[in-house]
Amino acid sequence: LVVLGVLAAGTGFVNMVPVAKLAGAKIDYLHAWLDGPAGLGTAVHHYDALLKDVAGYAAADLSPLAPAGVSLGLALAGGLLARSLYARPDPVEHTDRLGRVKTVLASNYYLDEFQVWLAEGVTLRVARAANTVDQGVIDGVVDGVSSVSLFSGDRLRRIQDGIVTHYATFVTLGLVALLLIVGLTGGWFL
Amino acid sequence: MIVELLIATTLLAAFVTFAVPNRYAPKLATGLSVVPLAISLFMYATFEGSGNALLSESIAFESQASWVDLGPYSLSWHVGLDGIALPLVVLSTVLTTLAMGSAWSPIDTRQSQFYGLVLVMEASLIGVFSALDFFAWFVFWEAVLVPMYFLIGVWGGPRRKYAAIKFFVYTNVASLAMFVSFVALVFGLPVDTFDLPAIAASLRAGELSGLAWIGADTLRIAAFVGIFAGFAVKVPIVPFHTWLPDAHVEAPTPVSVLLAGVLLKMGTYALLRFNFTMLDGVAREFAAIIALFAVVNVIYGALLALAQSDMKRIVAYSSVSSMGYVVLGLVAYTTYGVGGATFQMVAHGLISGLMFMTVGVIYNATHTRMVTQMSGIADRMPVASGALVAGAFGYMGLPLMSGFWGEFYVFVGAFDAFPGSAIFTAVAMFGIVIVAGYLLWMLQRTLFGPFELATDYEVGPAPVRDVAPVLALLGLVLLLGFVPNLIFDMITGAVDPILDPGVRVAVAGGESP
Repeated sequence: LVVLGVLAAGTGFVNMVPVAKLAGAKIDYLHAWLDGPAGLGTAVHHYDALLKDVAGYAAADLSPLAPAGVSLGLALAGGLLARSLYARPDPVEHTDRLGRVKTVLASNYYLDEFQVWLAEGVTLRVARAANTVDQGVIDGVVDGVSSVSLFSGDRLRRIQDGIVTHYATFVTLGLVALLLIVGLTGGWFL
Repeated sequence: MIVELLIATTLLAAFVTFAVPNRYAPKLATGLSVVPLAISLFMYATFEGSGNALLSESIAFESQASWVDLGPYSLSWHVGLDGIALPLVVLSTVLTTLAMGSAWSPIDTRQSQFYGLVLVMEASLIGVFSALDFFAWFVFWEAVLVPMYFLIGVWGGPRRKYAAIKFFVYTNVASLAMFVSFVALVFGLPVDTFDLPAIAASLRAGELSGLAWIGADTLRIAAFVGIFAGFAVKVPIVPFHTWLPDAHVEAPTPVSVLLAGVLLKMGTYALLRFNFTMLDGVAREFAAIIALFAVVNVIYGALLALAQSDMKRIVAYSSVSSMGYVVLGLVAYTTYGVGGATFQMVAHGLISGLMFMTVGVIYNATHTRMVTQMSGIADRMPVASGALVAGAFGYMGLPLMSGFWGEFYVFVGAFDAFPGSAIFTAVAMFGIVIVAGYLLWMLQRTLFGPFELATDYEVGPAPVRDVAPVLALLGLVLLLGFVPNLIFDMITGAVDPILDPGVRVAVAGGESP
């Protein structure tokens, strides 16, 4: 815990923008590093320009002092509240007073359960249904067209039976059909 | 003449490879493929083009010669490159060399024919990206199908014949629809050539006069739909996508690398050139419908990937999802939208190649691709597992990997592009969550936990020759992640002439429009 605390504090000092703003000292190391050369495409002003100039979204012009003040205030308030409740020889658990709310809070608002339900109960089921539709319907239509083509080809192939009179009959029927079509579209029978 | 030199050396390498005995073919073909790779890198280093090849008068590496007369139309050999085509040419040469390097282990029969066909396909791909006359372009377009058909049908898996015929019929019918639509469009124009820049100029000048009893507006829309449907099969766009998973699963790994890495880009490249450059008015008019297709691709492709347990099928359906981002970027008609879509073509080519290659390396050792049949592979194959994790992160669009820029640029460019585009973009963004879900699930099940393998093979670290191409691809993914402007400036230079002057913006670190 001590190591983690030291690392957390160290990380905080890497980007002390609010303090830099107040003291005027150049100690916003992370910000300065991210504000690097534009050509690399990793510079923060690159994203700033993209969001403002291209996507049309600009960040609110908010001083870093206000968010820093709010978060610091909340942290201190929590610390003071905890001290007033538990800094005594025989501390008692106060959370029972919350009733059912305690269970909700202890379960992290059931967010884990919600996410598991969303992933397994909804998304995975929808994905499996989509896969069934894809294989059965969309790909089925493609395979169906293929089967119909093969079946039709096989049936049509039987026309070629080698008997000349049959061929002559088909040619004659075809010619009559063509004449009918041309006649109907050309207005011969009107 | 350097484009001709590039195509000729690749074809020459193919013929030499066909002629040599099988045992010499892998190393010889890979070595010979370095020549076109070097030429394409030289072209990248010396590229001084500006503008779009269809809309500008100055085209890099351009050459033109009269070919044949077809009635009142003259066909010509016309090639040249711009900032859209050159990155795709380099992608083709890079991926071909690396794919051939990755084929040394899995391809152990008829090697000279396999590598020869791969080189023929590379030459055809270069032709597709560089041709500026419709007939020359169409010859190359169709020529890609033939080697791919044999590569799947001869060296593929158990259902290779089904997959190869399905791929061929699907894409050939699509080519027919596209060909008829485009030729009908040209017949309605006052041009005597199939030269693409001339046709683009005539169309954008509003010179389309109709054909037979079909009016100009109807012809324009019908041709747009026919051409779009033709290319939608190649991209692929749902519901024309079902050839893709079969082809990927049955194709040998190096062929899957080229199929996902470059062949799908033929579709998006052609969409950009034909539908979104020549028929930009129709594309803008139906922007919302096209964006809907794009978003369905993203979400539906990702959901299908989520339902798979074959790693190759997962990566294949991921490609369907990723191509949705490309279409969304194209229809945005902004610098970052169209530029990001083109960047995403290259980024996805590298990342999908990396993923397929790594899955292939793991398959070579385990003889299974089923997620449910293995776990703890990371202990036995740390380098390949690390590459798979990195590739998955690239697919998820993590910063400092090339996939991040492709998707980020598309989102930025599409968000405020046309009425309702913010909703389409927001829904498309949700696709990343699904992508992260199934890829992390795949990584967790296969790579981590105690070692288990249903196929009972002895698994150890992958040979250097197998992981070398994988690491080279990973290096390129990271390089474009750190320095996207290696190609993005070039791309935006070619994209801007397509756009309305009002929506052009200067890219960070690049030149002002």
